[in-house]
Amino acid sequence: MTNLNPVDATNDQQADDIDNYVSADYEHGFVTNIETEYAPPGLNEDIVHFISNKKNEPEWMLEYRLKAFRYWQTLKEPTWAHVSYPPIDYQAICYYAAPKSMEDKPKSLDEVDPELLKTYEKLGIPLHERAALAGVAVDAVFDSVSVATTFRDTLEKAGVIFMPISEAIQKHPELIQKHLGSVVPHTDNFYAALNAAVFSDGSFCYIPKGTRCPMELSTYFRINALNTGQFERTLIVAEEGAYVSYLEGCTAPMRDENQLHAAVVELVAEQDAEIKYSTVQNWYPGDDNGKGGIYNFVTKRGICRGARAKISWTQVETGSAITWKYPSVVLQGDNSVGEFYSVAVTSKKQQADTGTKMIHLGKNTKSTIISKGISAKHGQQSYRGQVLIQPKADGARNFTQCDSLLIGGDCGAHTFPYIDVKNQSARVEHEASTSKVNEEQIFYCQQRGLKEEDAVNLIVNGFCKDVFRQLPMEFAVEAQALLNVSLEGAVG
Amino acid sequence: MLEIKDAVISVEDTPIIKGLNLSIPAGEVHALMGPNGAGKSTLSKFIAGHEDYTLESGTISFNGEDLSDMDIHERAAAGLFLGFQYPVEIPGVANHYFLKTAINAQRKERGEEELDTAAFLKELKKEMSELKMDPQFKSRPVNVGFSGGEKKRNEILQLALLKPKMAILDESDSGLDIDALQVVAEGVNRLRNQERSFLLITHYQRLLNHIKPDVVHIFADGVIVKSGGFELAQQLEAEGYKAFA
Amino acid sequence: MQKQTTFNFELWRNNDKRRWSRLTNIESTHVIALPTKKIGAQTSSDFCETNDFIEAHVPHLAKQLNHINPSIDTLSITESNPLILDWRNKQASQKSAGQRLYIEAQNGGVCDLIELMPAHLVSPTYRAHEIHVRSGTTLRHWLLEVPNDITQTNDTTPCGALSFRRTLVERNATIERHYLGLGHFSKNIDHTVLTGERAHASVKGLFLPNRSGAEWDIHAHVIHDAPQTTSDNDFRGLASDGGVGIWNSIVTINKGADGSDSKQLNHNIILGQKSQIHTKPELIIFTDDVTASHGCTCGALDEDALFYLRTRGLSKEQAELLLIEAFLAETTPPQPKSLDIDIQAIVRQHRLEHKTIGAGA
Repeated sequence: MTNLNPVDATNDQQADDIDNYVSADYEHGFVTNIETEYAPPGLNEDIVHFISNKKNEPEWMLEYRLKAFRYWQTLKEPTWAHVSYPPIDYQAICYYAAPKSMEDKPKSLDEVDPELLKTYEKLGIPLHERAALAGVAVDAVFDSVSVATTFRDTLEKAGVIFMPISEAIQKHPELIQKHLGSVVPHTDNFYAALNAAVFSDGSFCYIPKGTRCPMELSTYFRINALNTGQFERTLIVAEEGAYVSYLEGCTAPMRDENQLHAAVVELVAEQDAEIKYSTVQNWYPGDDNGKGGIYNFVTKRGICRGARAKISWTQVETGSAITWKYPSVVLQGDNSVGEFYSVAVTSKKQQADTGTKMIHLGKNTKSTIISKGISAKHGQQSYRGQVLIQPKADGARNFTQCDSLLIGGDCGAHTFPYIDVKNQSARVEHEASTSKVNEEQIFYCQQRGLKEEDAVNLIVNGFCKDVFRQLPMEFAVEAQALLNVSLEGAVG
Repeated sequence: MLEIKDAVISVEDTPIIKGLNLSIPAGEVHALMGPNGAGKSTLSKFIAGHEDYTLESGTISFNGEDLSDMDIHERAAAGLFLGFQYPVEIPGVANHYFLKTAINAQRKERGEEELDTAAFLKELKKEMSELKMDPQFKSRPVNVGFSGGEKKRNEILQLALLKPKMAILDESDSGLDIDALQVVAEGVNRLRNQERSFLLITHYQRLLNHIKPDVVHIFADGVIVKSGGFELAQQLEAEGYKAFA
Repeated sequence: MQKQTTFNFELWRNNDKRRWSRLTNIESTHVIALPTKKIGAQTSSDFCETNDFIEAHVPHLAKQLNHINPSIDTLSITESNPLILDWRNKQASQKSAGQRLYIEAQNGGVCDLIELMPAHLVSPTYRAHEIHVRSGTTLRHWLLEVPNDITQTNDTTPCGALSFRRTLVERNATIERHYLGLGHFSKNIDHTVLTGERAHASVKGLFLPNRSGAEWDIHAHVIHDAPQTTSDNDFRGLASDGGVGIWNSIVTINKGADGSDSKQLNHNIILGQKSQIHTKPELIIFTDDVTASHGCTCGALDEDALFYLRTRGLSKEQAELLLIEAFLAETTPPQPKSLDIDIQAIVRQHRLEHKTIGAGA
């Protein structure tokens, strides 16, 4: 039975944290008391200057931000997604917040504010221990500033660069200038433009030619400060023949206000390179009445530049009040491969409009989309995905399977696939189904001794298996636990 | 062990079983035979606690405990096993994981210690080889893509590992070829003992040639019309259900 | 969020807009009202409702049509005595045509309605149909675009037809639509509401755009608004020689429509450079007690099957034709007994016009 229980409570957890488990409330909903330095709310050129200045950025970076900001001002917020929320006042948001103790950057973990480290412990990522045990290098982003980067030595020996993007702008300007905005240009969409103007930090990862990254790379994001948006920027470049697996976990404290998270992730895979990008997103979803929660408006895109390159997105989305996210792959190189595996859960009053885009440009390019959506309580979920086969993509192949599971009569599940084929030798297959949890299955499990809720968890986990198996082991366990927590109280 | 008295059972306010009396003592094997539409599957699902079936009047108890207040999983933990006529497929859930989860859920419900993985796997391996099941079925998703015979074998495997006090086997012989039928019958015979009771629900006598019942009940139109020994099954085979209508 | 009925015109790409702007710039052109058939008594208020609907969703159509006053006529149609509306001569030659049609099928039983439309138009045509299927009645509706001779007119630039069809289906009633999409440039908006228990809608057909500039497009939206309603959308498309096929099926299952079942299928074959298929099956579901599925595929002819047939002695062309015929047969409209046009033969003839088939054989 242990595997069916929500996350095991660790011994040293505070009593109120245990209460959180019991009441199935948001388990990461605590606030760290650290003095935080804010920029004044609102967005104008001065703020862009302020952020750039804070980070000691070179002139070209400031120019890039200003260009993006000016473009952003000409844009209107997109409204085509199948979600609804009150208008966002972009002038009421703080665009920069940094924990104060970070003013002088720590040289090692010992110098990191112990409060911060405790926060990570609560999140289940005690940096040194977990990193050492699991062989994971963690670049933790805490309200915009990278706190500590572990295992940098090991990575450096392999020639892998893994550092906060703010640092990379200083140390590797040529790589940043070459790749930043090359996959998601600042003109891409409203949120991408906003991110390009005000992004505060994020991760940069560079795997040189022929290198297999010696460990799984991982970043944990967390939004801590009140009324702050978090705009991280992640850039991963895998040179010819390189391989990297990157894990991203997200969580944020419980607040009554809605918080905006508009991140951009860019992946570049050159010839024969492979990037695996896994996300477990557990931002605060808001309460049962839809109060509070994160607006997660994210642009993620990868490009398979060279032949036989491969990019694989795996996501488990259980959090956020609203999710707007389409991790995509541009298949430019011949024989390149794009994959998208997704489990998304909307419960309470969560809304999600998520899916992917597979843009086939090269010959014999191949893409696979497996999407599993689960809606419970008043959750509203949409799968939106595009498969585009351009005229030169001879022999392109796509397989899409997108299934939705409904739990309860008040939720919704919607499917909006766009399939555009402009080449006669392409083969595209799309399958989708929507149904409620099968009552016969529940009865069968109950007859074998499982409680109704455990039976549903078991069936739902089985439903998501094809996606979970894409995740690294420890992430898969976490994802499964999160799924069960998210669906708690949804049955019966 | 199982006592049903004057039970009237209805589905959506329509009575299907109309005054049933059935008593199965510990260690006995009873066969319930009836034509299609007699309400055999209704009875088995009702005993297991399916919510679609309502007990309008009468009583049902198991080992002296009133079953009507017990949830499906509580009945299972109390030792009631239902072998399904059409075992349900559960995609994505490995057979061995399902079994272990079920065993430990029942143990937990009874306040017993959970079975450790090594002991479980050892027993699973043993039982699978007894049932001549290909080891690959261990990790395949529950019943998904299994043939009719494989599904029934899988039910017997679950029976062997869950060790219930009483097993109701609903049309366990349907869809089986003669070899598979023998394997299922051997499995049941091996699991027969002084404490464990069986209720075999079947349309034909065929299964009863391999599993000798202590008592045979003829069930038609929601009531038991006649009870007797094995000879009753033989009489039925010779004369058909009409003779009992 | 609830009850979205907005049409999605995303698939009407840029070049469409250009084409349509040409079509809509005809304000000075006289719009001709074609006879309106009406079966059963009905007040004109039904039209007002639809007028508002068209105004909101297809404004440029409303502009063309809202001043047409339908005349009222009562007819009795049955399966053996179908209503055949032959628009070919009128629409093929008119400068610009607008058409309103209101049909009410009632009194139970099965009625057949067959529309014959010209595949090639020399001027834009607008159609707005409202169909009300009363309880227990089955209406079978053929929408056949039939080849016509355009060599006699001076202006051979093909023009489009924009058709809007709104159907209400009551308790235990059925609408069954069969499209034969041979139109050179044809856009169809098919909007069906299942208003009563166990109502059923079936929208099936073929589209075969077979030349550069040809575009056939359907946006079929079925709204399940009552329990145990069922719908079925099944189209097959063959885009060849630069033709473009667009299929968009939207199924909405509203809260309360428990036990509803919907299937959407679209299989396509693309032949030739620059041919395109755009397929978009949408599901919008607001309750859990439903079964809904969709599947679509797009690809070339099966190479293995082609090879197999050729080893049996068929030429490449013969093999291709055979496979295409088999592919299209699934959703080819059934032949109504009383119709003197052979649907199979028309499809075959149209298919033979595909230049790419058998090329190089």
